[in-house]
Amino acid sequence: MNDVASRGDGSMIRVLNLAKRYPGGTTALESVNLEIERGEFVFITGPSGAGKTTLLRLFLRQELPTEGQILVNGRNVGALPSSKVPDLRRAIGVVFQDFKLISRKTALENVAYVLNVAGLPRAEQKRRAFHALRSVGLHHRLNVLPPALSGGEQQRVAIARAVVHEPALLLADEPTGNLDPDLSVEIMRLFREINARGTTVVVATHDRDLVQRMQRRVVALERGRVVDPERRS
Amino acid sequence: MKAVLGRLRYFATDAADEWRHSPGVNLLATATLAAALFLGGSLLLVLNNVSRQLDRWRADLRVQIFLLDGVSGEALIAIERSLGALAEVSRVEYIDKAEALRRFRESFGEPLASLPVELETNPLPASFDVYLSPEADAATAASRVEQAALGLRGVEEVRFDREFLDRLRGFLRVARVGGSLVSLVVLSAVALVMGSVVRLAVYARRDEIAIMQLVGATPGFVRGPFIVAGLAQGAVASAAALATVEAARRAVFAYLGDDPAVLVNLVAGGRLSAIASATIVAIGLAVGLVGACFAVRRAT
Repeated sequence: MNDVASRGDGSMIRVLNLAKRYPGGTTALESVNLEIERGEFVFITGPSGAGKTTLLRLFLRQELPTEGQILVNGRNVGALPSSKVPDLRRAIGVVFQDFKLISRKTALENVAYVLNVAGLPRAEQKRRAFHALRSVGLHHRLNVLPPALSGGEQQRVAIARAVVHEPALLLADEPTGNLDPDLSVEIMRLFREINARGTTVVVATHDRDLVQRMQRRVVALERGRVVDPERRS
Repeated sequence: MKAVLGRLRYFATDAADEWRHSPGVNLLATATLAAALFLGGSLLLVLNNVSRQLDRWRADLRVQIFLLDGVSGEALIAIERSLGALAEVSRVEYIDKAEALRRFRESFGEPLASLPVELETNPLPASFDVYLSPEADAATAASRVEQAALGLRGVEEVRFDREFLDRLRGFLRVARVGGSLVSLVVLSAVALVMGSVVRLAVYARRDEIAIMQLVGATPGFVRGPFIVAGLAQGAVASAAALATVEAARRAVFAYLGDDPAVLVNLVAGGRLSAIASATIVAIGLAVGLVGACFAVRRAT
């Protein structure tokens, strides 16, 4: 499979004729074409089962496409050898609805883990992790284990972890799904700040109010296909 | 080099951290391995002791070649050379009549010790004690020595305890086959149980492993702490097993007092040898390592 895009163009993500079908006949995505520019802030919206999470999983190479190509920062994700997948993931920050923090590690250790994986010296890991936690207002909760943090605090730790290595792309899958409306606004404010620093932000959500309030580009999915957001059922 | 050391330090601290946070699973894994190694260690202890005893018996295995009175010096040399040249023979010792008498007195004490004096002559013949090589099959070797000796000039009679040698041969066969079978069963049980326990540990951390992979950790980075933890479990379990085997051995002797049964002495008279102890440690480390590698490989 040949790459149809090269590094250095304006696209952070380019999706071409993407399809994802599971054994048994379930179609998660069909004929998806999509382009997200560097530095953009994009919402991927749609009802449950529309294919939002599948799309993000494909971006992260948690799954392989059945058809089509996905180019993330110039890399053909589907054609990447397994040994290169960690490199791809280290270049992306990820935030999940269920936070996905390591429960036996403190907030600081969770954030520093990404830098540890990247092989940074311990002192540098701690310094950067502290700054990331300070940027989300959690520098007073450094040594607290995730179970002792509130949902909003856990999500802020997850955001700090996602941005501590200054990735070019931040993916967030229903990041406010477990949070109350006030906290959701707070999380979106953080995403806006991250985006303002040049990071491309892609947020999958079914929260229409939040999307309307943010006034950003919207890619709407319905039954696995991209539809006009205005004509969404 | 600094980076490698830093990574190893991380693996070690993360393994210790995981141990602190999930003591139940880790204790279960270590205790299971220790119990299995205790069984293996006890088996090795018995085999060690039986083997030592067998070696002692085998070292004492000898064929006695009794000589005619008045055999010439040349004939003695010829007999000694002929027997010493046999592959089944480890050494040949000449016992002259005076030495035979001394041994007789030493062995029988009063009142039989005075018997030769009463006879006013030494009736005991000179002989050669032909010690058999421990590597040789004792009964076969004794027969070969007998055949060789009976053809030599000056030899009057050849004696050896055929029944004892046959019993020893049977005992050795049972010890070898039985020991191998029991070792195989114990090792298989250790491998199966440890595989299950490590899989349980990995299953308990499957979410954590998934998170690590999602943030870009390589398989090697994810596996490192598990492998260090597996090695540590193997080391702790084998040390505990060795200590328990020795404690149990001493407890048996303390309970039985100064006069333990012959069988107890036979199977547990001596401590586990250094080689057997090293084998237990090596098995513990290997099982911990292989178990961790196998289980975490499936998860990553």
